[in-house]
Amino acid sequence: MEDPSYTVELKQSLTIKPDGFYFHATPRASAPALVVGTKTAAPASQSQSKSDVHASARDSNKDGVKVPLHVLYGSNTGSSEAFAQRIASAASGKGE
Amino acid sequence: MLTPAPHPGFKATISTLDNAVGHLPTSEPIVIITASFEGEPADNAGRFVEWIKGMHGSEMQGVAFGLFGCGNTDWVTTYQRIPKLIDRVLVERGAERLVDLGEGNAAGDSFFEAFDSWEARLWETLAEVGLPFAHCPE
Repeated sequence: MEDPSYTVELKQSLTIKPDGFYFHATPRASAPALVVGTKTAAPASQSQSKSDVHASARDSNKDGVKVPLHVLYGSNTGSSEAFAQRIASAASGKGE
Repeated sequence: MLTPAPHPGFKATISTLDNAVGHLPTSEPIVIITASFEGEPADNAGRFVEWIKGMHGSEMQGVAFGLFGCGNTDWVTTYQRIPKLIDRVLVERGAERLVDLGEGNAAGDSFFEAFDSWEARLWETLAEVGLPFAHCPE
C-alpha cells in the first residue's frame, strides 16, 4: 500500500457500454492455419504424397464436401449461444 | 486436436431450437446447447420442448445428437431440468446419443472446463461417426 494510513472510502461511477452487441469470430480461409505436429495420409490415399493429400483435402473443402453439422441452442443470457457459436466456428477446422 | 486421417471437416449451420421445430434433420449430427431458466426453457427453445414432449412414438428415429446443458446449482430444484428433459425425451423417441449429456454449472468454478472436456469428447466422436453422414462422391 502506498499510504499505510489509508482507510477505505467508496466511490461509485457509472459506465455505459453497448447492449446486445455480439460478434462471431470465424477463421479466415486465407490465413495460415496453426498446425501442431504432422498429419498422416488416409489409407485410401497412401499412394499420394502428403502435399497431394493436403491439396485434395483443400479441394474437397472448396467443393463443399464437408460433413454437415447442425448446431442448435436455447439461450436467454447468451452462454448457451456463445458455446454453440464456438462449436460452429471450430467445425470447419476439425479433422483437416 | 488432430485426427490421423484427413477429414474434410464440418460445415456447421446454427440456429435456435425453436427454429428446428418440425424438421430436426436425420442426415447430419446435431449439437444442442441449452439451459433451464428457473426450470423453464429459454425463450427461443420453448416451442421445441413442447414439440418433443408431444411425441409418443419413435419420431426421432435416425436423429443423432450431443447435448450440453448450461446450469446453475443456485437453482437447486431445477438444475439442468430442461437439458436433462430434452436429452431423455429425444432418446425415448428413438434418437441416438452421440456423447453423454454434458453439464456445466455456472455457479461452480469449472463451468468452462466442463464445456471444454465435453467439446473434446464431441469432436472425438464426430471424427469417427461423422463420415457416414457425408455425401461424398466416392
